[in-house]
Amino acid sequence: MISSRFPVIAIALVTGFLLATQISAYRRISLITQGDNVKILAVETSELIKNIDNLEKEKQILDEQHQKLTTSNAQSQESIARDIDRLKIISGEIEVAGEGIEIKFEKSLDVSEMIDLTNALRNIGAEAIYFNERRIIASSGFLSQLGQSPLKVSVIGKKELIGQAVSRRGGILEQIGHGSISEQSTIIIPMVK
Amino acid sequence: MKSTLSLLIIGLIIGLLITAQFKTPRQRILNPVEPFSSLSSTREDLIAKVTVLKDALKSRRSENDALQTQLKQNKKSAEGLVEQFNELKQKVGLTELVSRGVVVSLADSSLAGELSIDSIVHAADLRDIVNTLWNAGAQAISINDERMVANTSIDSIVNIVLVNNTRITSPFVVKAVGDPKILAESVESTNNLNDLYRRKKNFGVILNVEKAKEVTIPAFTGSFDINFAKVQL
Repeated sequence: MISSRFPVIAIALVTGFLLATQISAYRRISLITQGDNVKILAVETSELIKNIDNLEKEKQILDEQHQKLTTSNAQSQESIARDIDRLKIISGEIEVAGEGIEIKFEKSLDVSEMIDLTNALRNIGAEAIYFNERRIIASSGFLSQLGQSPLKVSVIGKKELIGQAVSRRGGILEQIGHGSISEQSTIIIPMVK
Repeated sequence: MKSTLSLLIIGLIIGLLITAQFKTPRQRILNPVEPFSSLSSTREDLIAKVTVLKDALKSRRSENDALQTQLKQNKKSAEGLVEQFNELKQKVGLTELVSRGVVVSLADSSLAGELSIDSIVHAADLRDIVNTLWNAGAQAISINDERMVANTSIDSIVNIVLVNNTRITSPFVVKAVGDPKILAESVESTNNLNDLYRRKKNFGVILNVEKAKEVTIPAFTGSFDINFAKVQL
């Protein structure tokens, strides 16, 4: 009896094996190729490329400084003076000017909106930020009083880039829900008080 | 008859499966695995390159520091400038800072069940904690050893968090230098972080605050891009 049903049993075993192999292969492939995984990698790669670009520029600055430091003393002092100015711009201890954008808000911003706006501006490459009467530096914390309307936010940086990034569809202004931008060839931002 | 029919059906199924297994490639086969492998490999190369560059920056800054120290010893007139330069380096986050402070630990919920949007830590939560600490007078802050500086952004892309364009993952350790009592009270206040505490209570998000006698905030190892802002004379 077993010998007569042997062909059927063998065929069933083969069928089962092939079916299991097929299902397993499809699962592995779909796991690897989930759209989200590829998207995450693409965005992360883009951020890494941006980071590398910035790091290489910084290295170039430091290499130039190094070159100058190893030559004459007079040139070294000039180099230090320039570096001091650069650090003062970063720390907010000096008044700065440059191209950028102004954003005007007719309604007040709450604390989380101010945090998110500043975060977005920094991500886009803002080099100096000013909220009404206040220079924003690394250690600036936001309280609700700062967001009272009318509110003007001034930003120094590449004006076309920052303007487009902030006002694009899905950008920070759309998330906040209001605000108007104007690009400026010169914006002056006072030092931190 | 019945057995013949069974064999016929089984034979058809086997035929289909064998065909699927050894399917002849179409003219334009798109290997769905290849873009992922290629991107993944590129990402690894880029991460390695970032590490090399950061090491190079650290080394160059150290050499420049040594040269400036030498300058200070040789030239009296440069003394004031070098000291000013070193003070500014501290202010902008280019030097390590070790002092008393707090350590805030955050992590996604470890409760059983699927993670939801309320049970995981978001970039916005980290931004809120950093803001709370600055308002409480923190002198320096880091998240997973990434120093908060003037151009720091904290963002998320799908389920990963980027700080200073560097990927960090849960658990998140936020360190801050300052008065431990004041800093701890500010973070423990539900007024300051009400949504986070709501999610801690209802969804199991992990949030702990500890005062510390010594906290080390590492120096910033990234870059400051200043191309448009000029000193106003």
